[in-house]
Amino acid sequence: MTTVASHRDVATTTALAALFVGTAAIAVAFGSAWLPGGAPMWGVWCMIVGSALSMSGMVGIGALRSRVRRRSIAVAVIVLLAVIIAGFGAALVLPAETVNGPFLLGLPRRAAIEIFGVGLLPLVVLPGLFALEFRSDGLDERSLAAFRAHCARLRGE
Amino acid sequence: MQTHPIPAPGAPVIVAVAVIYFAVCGVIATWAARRTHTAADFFVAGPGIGLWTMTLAAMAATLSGFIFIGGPGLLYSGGIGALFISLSASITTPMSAWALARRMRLLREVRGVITVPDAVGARYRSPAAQGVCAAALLIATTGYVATNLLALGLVLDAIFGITLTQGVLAGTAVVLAYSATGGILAGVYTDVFQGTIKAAASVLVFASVLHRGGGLTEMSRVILAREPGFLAPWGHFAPLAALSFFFVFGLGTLGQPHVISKYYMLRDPVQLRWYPLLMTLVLLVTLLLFFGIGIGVKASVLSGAMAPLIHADDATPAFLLQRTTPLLAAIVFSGIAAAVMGTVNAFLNVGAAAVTHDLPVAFGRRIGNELLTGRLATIAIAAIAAWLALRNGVLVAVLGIFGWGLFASTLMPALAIGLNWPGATRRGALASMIVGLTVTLVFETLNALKIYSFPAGVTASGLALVLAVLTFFIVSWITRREAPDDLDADVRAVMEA
Repeated sequence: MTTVASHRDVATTTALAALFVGTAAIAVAFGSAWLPGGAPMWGVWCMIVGSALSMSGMVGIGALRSRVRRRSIAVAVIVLLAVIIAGFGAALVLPAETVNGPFLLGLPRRAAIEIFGVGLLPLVVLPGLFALEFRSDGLDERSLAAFRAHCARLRGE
Repeated sequence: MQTHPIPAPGAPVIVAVAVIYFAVCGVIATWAARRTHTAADFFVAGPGIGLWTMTLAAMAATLSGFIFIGGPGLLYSGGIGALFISLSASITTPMSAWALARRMRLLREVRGVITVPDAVGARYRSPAAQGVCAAALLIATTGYVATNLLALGLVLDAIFGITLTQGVLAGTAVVLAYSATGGILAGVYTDVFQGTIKAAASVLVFASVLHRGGGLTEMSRVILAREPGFLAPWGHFAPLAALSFFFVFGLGTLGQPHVISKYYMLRDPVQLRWYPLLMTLVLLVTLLLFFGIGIGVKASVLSGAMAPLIHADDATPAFLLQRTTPLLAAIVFSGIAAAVMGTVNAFLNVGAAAVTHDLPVAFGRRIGNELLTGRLATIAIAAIAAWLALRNGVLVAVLGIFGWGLFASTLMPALAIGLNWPGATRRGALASMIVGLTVTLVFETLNALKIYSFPAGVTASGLALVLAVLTFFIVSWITRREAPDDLDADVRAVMEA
């Protein structure tokens, strides 16, 4: 039990660190916009990685606190990191399209990767994981009444 | 947000559908108003609402008139980068549900909280934190309501052929009629009707766009041949600007009080299991209109099928009037008015709660009859906002711009991180809220007055959110020894349940 709790503490600290580092990376990216000529390529990469870290960190913090299994959290975090970094990164490294394509699902490839990859792919994974890992214990009327009473005792009422 | 006249439809069918639409909303609101007997009914829908009702109400509160008018206009002028505002839609609801749903719902059970600042005050044992939070919400909601009333006036002006002043006054009267009597209860049930129509209209409009444009690939070819930058990965925006949209509208969603307060309202919390899936699907379906009209009008204009737009915000009205049937146009026009009204109702409710509940609590007082004062505060905020909308366009624009950023930077760190991290401290929360409030107000004002503008890609709301999060972590770490004392045992139990 203690080992599980300590693993969870380490994971929570990691998720908090990811949120902090990701946000700091975005601050650096914003800072780079004041450089002569505007934000350089490394500034844009900072923004991409920072967004991925901060969002996956926030998902991790919430999921850990909701006692989601570590394997599921890992899947959610890896999918988010991969989708955001690869999706936006592809936009930076792939060549521009022409009127002849290439097209993916009707859109130029890079825009399609962003819209269908970053925009829609998480829909396949995250809400499903949430439903799969959702704990309904403690949320029925009887358990809620017991929880209210427990909390009232904690308040000394 | 819409700030200039919308091309007048002037068709009888549009007027007729609008009248029927508002009549149905009126019947629903009257029914709901009769069920409003207490402050809890007024602010958090009393005994609660079902999953579908909550989902559609949250969607209606999230997608204001901007998604129907300003959004397609921004996409038409700025290209694909404008979609980054909603690109995180499939991430935000699961993220918000994991971070907030269970804990906010249990806080309602344990502490009887009815507002978002209530939750902040309970988390940190701090009336001051609740007060700062409420002050920020009051400033932002008044601005949001003013800009939305102005937009509502323009929509009603276009539908019924009345003046802008008459449109603002009529719109304010209609929204007040159900907001002041039925509060959020009336709002959520009218939102169910409005949200259903909005989602259905979006699908029909999107199908119409695809049909008219010869499919997405054909429209892409037309655009790539004449304006390739439109379909470039960031559109006409700087990469940093588009990515900033993604970050602010992604993480910032965790701080939107009119949306996250819906977690208090779910009657059976077991149903939370399906909320992220339903909400994400409903959001994406409704966003089809934003995407479809933006792309479709651009392709139509570039191919010569439509005349170039004078104002980008005319994209939706122009497409509806020129490229769809009068009935579909009528439904969407009514849907736009309904979307604005739904948002105004949600914000009036948040603002009224700040005045009658949160600010008095922050000063150690309780108002005796919160239901009556809630209704009076709703009327007062709406009156001030309508006056602002009609008197001072510049101020309305300034107030409207910073609403989202102000909510995000003042609430996201203190609430979303704070409810998940026992190491957060009261001083960390207060510092982050003050930094978020100050940075947003100062820089948005300087920008609006053209005194100082950020370089391309940096926004005041993005910077405020970043600085608020960093401040929250740093001050909480510096004051970490205070963390155990800043967390009541029952709130800790909620966080660990």
